[in-house]
Amino acid sequence: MAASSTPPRIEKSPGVRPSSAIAIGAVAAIAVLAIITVWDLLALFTTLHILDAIECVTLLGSVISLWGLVRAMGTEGAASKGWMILFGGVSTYFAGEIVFTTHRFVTISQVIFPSVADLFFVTGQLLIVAALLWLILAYSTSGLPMGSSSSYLVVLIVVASLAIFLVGRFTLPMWADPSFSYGWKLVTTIYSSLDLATLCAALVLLRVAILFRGGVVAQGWAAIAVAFVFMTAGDTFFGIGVDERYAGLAFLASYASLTFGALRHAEIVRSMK
Amino acid sequence: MGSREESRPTGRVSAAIRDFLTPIVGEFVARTSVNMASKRIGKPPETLTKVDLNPMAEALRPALRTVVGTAADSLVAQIKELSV
Repeated sequence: MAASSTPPRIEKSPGVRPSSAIAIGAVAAIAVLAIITVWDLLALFTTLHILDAIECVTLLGSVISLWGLVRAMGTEGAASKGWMILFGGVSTYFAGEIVFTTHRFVTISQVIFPSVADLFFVTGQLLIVAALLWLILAYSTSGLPMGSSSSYLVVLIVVASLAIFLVGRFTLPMWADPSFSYGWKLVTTIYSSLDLATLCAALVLLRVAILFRGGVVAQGWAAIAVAFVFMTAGDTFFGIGVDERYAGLAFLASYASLTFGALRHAEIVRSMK
Repeated sequence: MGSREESRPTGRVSAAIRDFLTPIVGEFVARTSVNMASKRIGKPPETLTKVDLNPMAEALRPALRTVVGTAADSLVAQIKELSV
């Protein structure tokens, strides 16, 4: 005889949820921007400082959504501290984006590197890595399943392959090139290291999110993990000199995914209270 | 309302908790969470009875708090009141 249990109270909000509206809007906007970029249809929207300004607005959305999530999760428990650190990291990253975009508007699409913006970006990304590791640790110590060890072997192979490629193709030649300043080389190497650490933590978080498949919490967690995979992609494109507009699109996808994930998870948590 | 009814293991209690958690955390995590919580209270899942709902809910609290924060308190209260 089947158990007769009461289903959990996960209230469905009437109409379109804010997170769904954000997701649909962001996917549509990024698709339009990608088409414009690939075919060079409209110079105005693919000018780097305009793209940076759009990134700033989108990242502000992520900061606001993450604050909403921090408030929804409360202050008790180890995971809540992880979300607070993530909010701090993304806010610091946002400060870097503001400084970077201001430089762009002043210099009209030229990049000043390294600059004060990099101080914010590096500090922000350090906090983001710390937050992701904190969340993973809180999750594993609570006794929840982490998935098979073979899936982590795949993560290790992916990150190690990328590391070998980046070091061999870009980092070592850069350090051997006397035309780059020591500061340039150091900051670039710090970025590459942080990107690999972010990717590693984001893939572990994504692996955990996949374990939640079929449950409502999978949506927010997966979107947040994917956001940091896109962030790593954007940083890597930027660092290795791929057309900066593609790096910009990857950052836009990252911030939009983070906004959706934080909003969605906050909606789910609030609906259960 | 017999205490014999409440203490008779049928496997329905673990199934009820699993069914309750599945829409939130998915089938796999719901199943492993029930196994983890029953291990914590020292009873195999199939031997759980209605009187185990309270300790099971409390054993699940840290995991639920990690996933949904303070909303875990509401879920724990709902698990304690499951009709099995």
